Amino acid sequence: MTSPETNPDTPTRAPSRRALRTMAVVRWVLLALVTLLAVTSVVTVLRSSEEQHADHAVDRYYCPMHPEVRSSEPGECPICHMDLVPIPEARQSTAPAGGAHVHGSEGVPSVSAVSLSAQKQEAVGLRTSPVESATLGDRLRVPGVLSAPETGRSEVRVRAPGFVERVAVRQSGVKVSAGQPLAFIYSPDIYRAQEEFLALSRWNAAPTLEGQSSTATADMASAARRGLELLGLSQADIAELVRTGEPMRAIPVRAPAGGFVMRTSAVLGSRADPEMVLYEIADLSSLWVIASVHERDLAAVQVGTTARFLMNRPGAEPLVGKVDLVEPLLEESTRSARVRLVLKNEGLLLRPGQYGEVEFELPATPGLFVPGDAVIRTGQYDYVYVQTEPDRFEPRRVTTGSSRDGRVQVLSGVAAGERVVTRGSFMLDSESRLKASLEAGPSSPEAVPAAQPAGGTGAAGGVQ
Amino acid sequence: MIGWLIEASAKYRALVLAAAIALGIFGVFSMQRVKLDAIPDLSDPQVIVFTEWMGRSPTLVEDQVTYPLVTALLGAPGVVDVRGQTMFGMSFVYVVFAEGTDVYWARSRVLEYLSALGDRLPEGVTPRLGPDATGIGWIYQYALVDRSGKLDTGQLRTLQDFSIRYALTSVHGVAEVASVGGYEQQYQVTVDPVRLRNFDLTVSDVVQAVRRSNSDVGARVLEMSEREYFVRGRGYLKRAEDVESIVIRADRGTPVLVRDVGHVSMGGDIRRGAADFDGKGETVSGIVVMRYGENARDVIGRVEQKITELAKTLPSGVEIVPVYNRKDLIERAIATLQTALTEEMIVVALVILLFLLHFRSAVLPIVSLPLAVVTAFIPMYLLGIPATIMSLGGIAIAIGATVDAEIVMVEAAHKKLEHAPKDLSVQERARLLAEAAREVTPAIFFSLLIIAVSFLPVFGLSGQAGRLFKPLAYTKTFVMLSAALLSVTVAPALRDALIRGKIRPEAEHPVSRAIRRVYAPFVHVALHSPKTTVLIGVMALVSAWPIAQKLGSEFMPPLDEGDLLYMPTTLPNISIEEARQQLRRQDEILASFPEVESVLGKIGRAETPTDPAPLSMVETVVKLKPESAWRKRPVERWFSNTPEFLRAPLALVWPESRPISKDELTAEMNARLDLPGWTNAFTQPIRNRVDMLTTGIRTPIGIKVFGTDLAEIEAVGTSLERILHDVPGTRSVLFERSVMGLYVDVTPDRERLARYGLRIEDVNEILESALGGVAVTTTVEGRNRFSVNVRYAQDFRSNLDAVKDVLIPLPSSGKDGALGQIPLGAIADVRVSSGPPMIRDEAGLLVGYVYVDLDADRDVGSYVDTAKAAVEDARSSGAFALPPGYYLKWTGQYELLADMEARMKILIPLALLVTILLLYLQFKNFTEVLIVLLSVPFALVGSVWALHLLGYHLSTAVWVGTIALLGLAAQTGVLMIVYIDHAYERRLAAGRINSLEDIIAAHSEGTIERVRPKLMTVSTMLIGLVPLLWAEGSGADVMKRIAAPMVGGLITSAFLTLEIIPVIYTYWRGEQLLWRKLSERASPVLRHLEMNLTLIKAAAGALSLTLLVRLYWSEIPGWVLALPIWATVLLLLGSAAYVVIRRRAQHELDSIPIATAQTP
Repeated sequence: MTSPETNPDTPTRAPSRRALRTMAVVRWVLLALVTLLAVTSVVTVLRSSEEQHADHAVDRYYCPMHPEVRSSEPGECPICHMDLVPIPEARQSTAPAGGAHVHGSEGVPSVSAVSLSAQKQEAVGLRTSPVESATLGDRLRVPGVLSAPETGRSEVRVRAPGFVERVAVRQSGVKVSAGQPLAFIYSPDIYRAQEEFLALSRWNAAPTLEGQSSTATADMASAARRGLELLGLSQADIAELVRTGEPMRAIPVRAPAGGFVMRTSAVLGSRADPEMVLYEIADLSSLWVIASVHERDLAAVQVGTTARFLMNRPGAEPLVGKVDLVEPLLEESTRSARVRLVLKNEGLLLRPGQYGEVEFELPATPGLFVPGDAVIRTGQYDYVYVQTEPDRFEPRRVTTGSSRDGRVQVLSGVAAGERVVTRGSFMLDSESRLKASLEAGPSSPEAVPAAQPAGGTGAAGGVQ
Repeated sequence: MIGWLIEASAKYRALVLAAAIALGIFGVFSMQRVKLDAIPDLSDPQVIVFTEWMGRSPTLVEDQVTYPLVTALLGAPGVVDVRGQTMFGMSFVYVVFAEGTDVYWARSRVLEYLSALGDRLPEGVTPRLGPDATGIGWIYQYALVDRSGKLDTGQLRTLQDFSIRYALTSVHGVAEVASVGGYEQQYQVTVDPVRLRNFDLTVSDVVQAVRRSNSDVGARVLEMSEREYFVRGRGYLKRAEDVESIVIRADRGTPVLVRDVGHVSMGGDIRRGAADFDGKGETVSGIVVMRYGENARDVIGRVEQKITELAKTLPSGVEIVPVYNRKDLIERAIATLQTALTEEMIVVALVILLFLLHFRSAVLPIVSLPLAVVTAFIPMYLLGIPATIMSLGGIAIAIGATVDAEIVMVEAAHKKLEHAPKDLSVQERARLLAEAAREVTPAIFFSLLIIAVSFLPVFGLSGQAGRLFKPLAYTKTFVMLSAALLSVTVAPALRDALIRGKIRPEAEHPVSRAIRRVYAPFVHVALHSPKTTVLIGVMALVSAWPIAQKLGSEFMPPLDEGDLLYMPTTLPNISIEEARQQLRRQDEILASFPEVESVLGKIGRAETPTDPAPLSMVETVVKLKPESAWRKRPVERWFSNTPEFLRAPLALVWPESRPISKDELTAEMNARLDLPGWTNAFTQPIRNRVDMLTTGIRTPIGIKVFGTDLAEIEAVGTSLERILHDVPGTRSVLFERSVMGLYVDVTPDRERLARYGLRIEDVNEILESALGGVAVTTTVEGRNRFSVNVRYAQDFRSNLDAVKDVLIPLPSSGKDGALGQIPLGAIADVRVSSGPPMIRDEAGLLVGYVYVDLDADRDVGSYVDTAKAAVEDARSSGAFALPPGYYLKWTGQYELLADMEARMKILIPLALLVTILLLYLQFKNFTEVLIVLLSVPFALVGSVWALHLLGYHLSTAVWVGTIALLGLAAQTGVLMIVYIDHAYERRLAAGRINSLEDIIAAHSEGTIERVRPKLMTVSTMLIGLVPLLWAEGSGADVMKRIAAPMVGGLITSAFLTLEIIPVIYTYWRGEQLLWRKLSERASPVLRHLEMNLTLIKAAAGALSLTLLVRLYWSEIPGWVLALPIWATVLLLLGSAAYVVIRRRAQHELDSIPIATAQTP
């Protein structure tokens, strides 16, 4: 297939001896180099694997999303595949210096003491506040309603059936004073009684022949007068009657006491019976506040407890009163008892039926108080961060009592005067948990921070 | 057949050229229409079912929403996995379908199964499908900035939600526009419980009243005076005052209005995310999510255009500021690769010109190179493979090899023509050219095929690696195939026209001469001292071995996206207010860096089902200024101590400062952002979305603990941790604990409830509405929609005590007809407790994950067996117990790996087999095939060293590069053998092969005379890859990792192929000669040798067979395990015997040299 003219078949010219010798040297050098390379690479790899074993103990990298993932060398997180990043120095696990870590009954699992420079404190907006020893009273707020006092109520009725001839006070809501005529009633019975009285009065006034009879008529006249009184005529009306000598066709019905007409049923021309309440009058110069207090709070409220009543009105000033009465009975349906306050109704600003809130001042108890925001509740532990040094914060388990006005009473765990973190506690807590989880060994499962199952038993936060 | 094709193409030149031009035009057409993105979409075919039940705790949502959903979807066809994830007020169910499932088909299946759900979900809870997109589709993000300061974030959010969002959603290719930050405005009716009680009302009354006071109706038409009038009843709430005037009850004409029991204001709805811009305070932001399989760059282009239009319609002072734009990255990445491609083409063209020194001839490869590339775009376009870093990278790594066929052919033609007479007739020249083509083209065609076939295993990659690298494999194969096709069609068609004119003989060629001056003595020495030659090769292998062990590994090679993503995390129970403040603080710090252009902080989640971020997670996009605006760092130069006048000109060449590097920048940021309570992470936007995408287990092994109670699951998980920790081979084991979430549990006491005639529902209803607030109705105000929420005033729900004071209305009335109400604390236990902030649900059970990572050299299969046995032991010994109904599932990446391994077990041998077959077709000799394959290990030596020197880890990218290298290495070997064979055959035919010296002479000729084509192919491949190595910018890093092993490998394989293959080949030929001589002499030694060789072959065959058996046979009997040892022993003995017998034979031949000389 190969034709001679296309294949000149030039014999390969042998290279010169010099070139061959040079090349031989080059090859030996090459061989030496490759061998050296092979030896060094084997040796370095062997050595580095030894070193690796040596410093395997120190974890210097962690996964920012899963801090429990740690490694002594950079790599990827097995969970999220993010690159591991160096653990910041502040979070590097340090040998626990005596007392630096909180242990024992006061300790809180999976959090640890944190050091924060002033700059970092500023970054999280950290604020502290002292634990105060104070005597703080509690307050109880319940709904209350104003009502006209039972003591100031009056009703106006006729004492004999009759007819309303004239109405002086035609509407409810009007203020009336005691003795003011409200309506005028024609009552046949009263009219007859007037005539009777007038007749007897005249008879009595006429000169008599016998002295005896005069005393008798006088008796009769005064009986008739009493009869009129009992029928509801006032002294003034009787005097008027005596003066005119004419029976009044419609006698005035007068207000028995001053106050406001609450209700009226006096209609011109209507028949008025004694059963009928023509007017209802309430005296509102002082009012009752009826607060319903739930049975669980009743023990704290006693007669004489100071209470403040706040109306549902913008800008209303609270009115201070004292508990006047705690009703002995519980209302069955609401399990609450009615508690009564009496308030002076100055300027008649208060109106019955008005709603509002009643705030009882509960007896003050002495104790240690911290701001409510200082306490971190996990459901199992309540703890606060105590500033032990200007840049060091230590978690401290506390037991809390009742809360007063945004403050929480601390029964144990902190001493008066210690400063607790009130703001920035979330970030502090987060840092603390991070640090704690980094201090725990990665491969000791028990030490890794764990959220305990829901509904734990250490019910410090639970309130019955 | 190939010969026929070549002849035919040369004959019907016009036809072929017309077809090529048509192909080119279609290719350019495809190239312009192919989709563009930065990286391929890596997501599983999955459908997200997202359900919002705002305000409900994770456990509640899990029980009532996630569980029914997961169980309902389990049975859907094609479903691989159903994973539920429950967070506060939200449930995400990820339905993962089998690979290759069409997403829209999957979506309709999910809908189908959702419809069967019926009324198993709580009232008012509607699951909806997530967008037909994933987090990777977050292509554009903007912030709404109000320069006038008139609008609050609520109003901005309204603008975003009701104007901008819909305008952008309408853009073609946009799946969703997610809002984040600001607050959704709503009417908030805050009622005062004390006043409610005063009026004897309950929250429910208010809710009822509001609900019934907001509607528009239609009442057909009225016909009046021959016209029709539409009748409508108008009653939508339009203002806060409208809500305030809703009547709750009227008593004898005295109405009780909403304003009597509370007040109404426009406020913010509850939110699980906030945004901050440049640390200047809250902002409103929008994220444009692209649909699957869209052309990202075009979509962004359309979005940008829409935004320009929208900008004119916005209230004055309001601006849409882009803060993240993937287009920049896409363009940068594409530009990087374009530059690399162009550089490659130019470099390759220069190499060809340099070697041929003949412009006309060089035109042939130079023309076919772009043609091959452009042709590759046709299948890309037709198959819908987007142009990404990966797919363009596939082209980039193929470029060097595409012109090989043409180069070799042109070179062969030159060789033929260089000694031809000047006045060659056209026919004669054509005949010579055809002959040259016939000699080399089949070989090069086969090697192109081998390069294509060797890439077969890449198609076997599955999961994310598969999605990432398959496009690359496709495009590379397309280019190789089109190059192969062009080499046998267009090249022959063009060669007669182009290869003409004066051809410079190789001997006069300056480049060839220079090479030969070095190479000729090199080969001579090598061929004469084979031992050192082989030793150099062996030492090279030895040097690479330990280094290969030391290379680290990484999942995905880094891709510089340009933008940064700052992603710190804190504890899950952070409140939104605290989160907001912290976010602002962080952004302030970030914005203070001079390199930073803008900072958009996001804490919590954006309102899209593609974002499951909890409130504890910040994802801040930091947009950096162009590198030119970065701070400069001084660089110490060698002349830095010289006087100024000297330094100035020198500094032009070696600048005395450089911009601060990105790593330095992030390190600085990291230091400044060392905030208490946060763990910092810096990543990049796309990378982060990819990381967030996978919800499954990514360690080699994971154990899923299925059960019904989270506490029990945790107990099981922690004991598994303990057990597995002691199993040999465990690198780390970790049970993923749910980190503290805080709950306030309100547990009604049933006895006390009974006493008051209350039912749980009565309490819950009040709790829900009074504390949580219920969305009562939605107002319709033009285009805007706002919800109306009724809730207790802040004071009455701000702390535990207030919760205890929430009043529950009693069914029976009090003494004076008043409604009895009772404080919650009196009938229920209110306490804080911890619980999970997030719950996983799989296959209808709660699940906890144990992540197990293995030592690198531990075999996963046997580890699982050992670990399972350890767990069983612990169980039988009572140290570990599974509660009834609980079970463990061993899973993890090893499933995928095992799957991939199984596929590779078929694909790699298949690729090897096909390669061997192709080689065999070419050489018709098995030993030659083996010698060709020898170049492979030597190529690997170079790759390992290149990776080590560049500090690259082993990643899939590196593997892909290595696989690509093997084909190239084989090709170098093929060319070498082909040329040696030519020389040898010719001399053999001439009867001039009679001694080893003759063989050496023949092989010297084959290697030295034909060094030019070999160097040309290697250098085009090599130099073609170099632009990838020096490429800078986005996308370059991935390509560097693919190119590095190829470049390294090509260098060593070129060197070792040029040296070792001729040596080995020579001595093999020498052996053949010996045999021939022995047979001529009918020596009995030949029989011994033959028998010996058969033994060696048998032993080698047995050895490779038993090694293969171990790969495919999972349970290997002991005797099979022992076989390789026996085979090795046999092999060594056989070889030793062969050496001894051979020496005898040689001696026999040498002892009667005269007889031999006389024979011919």
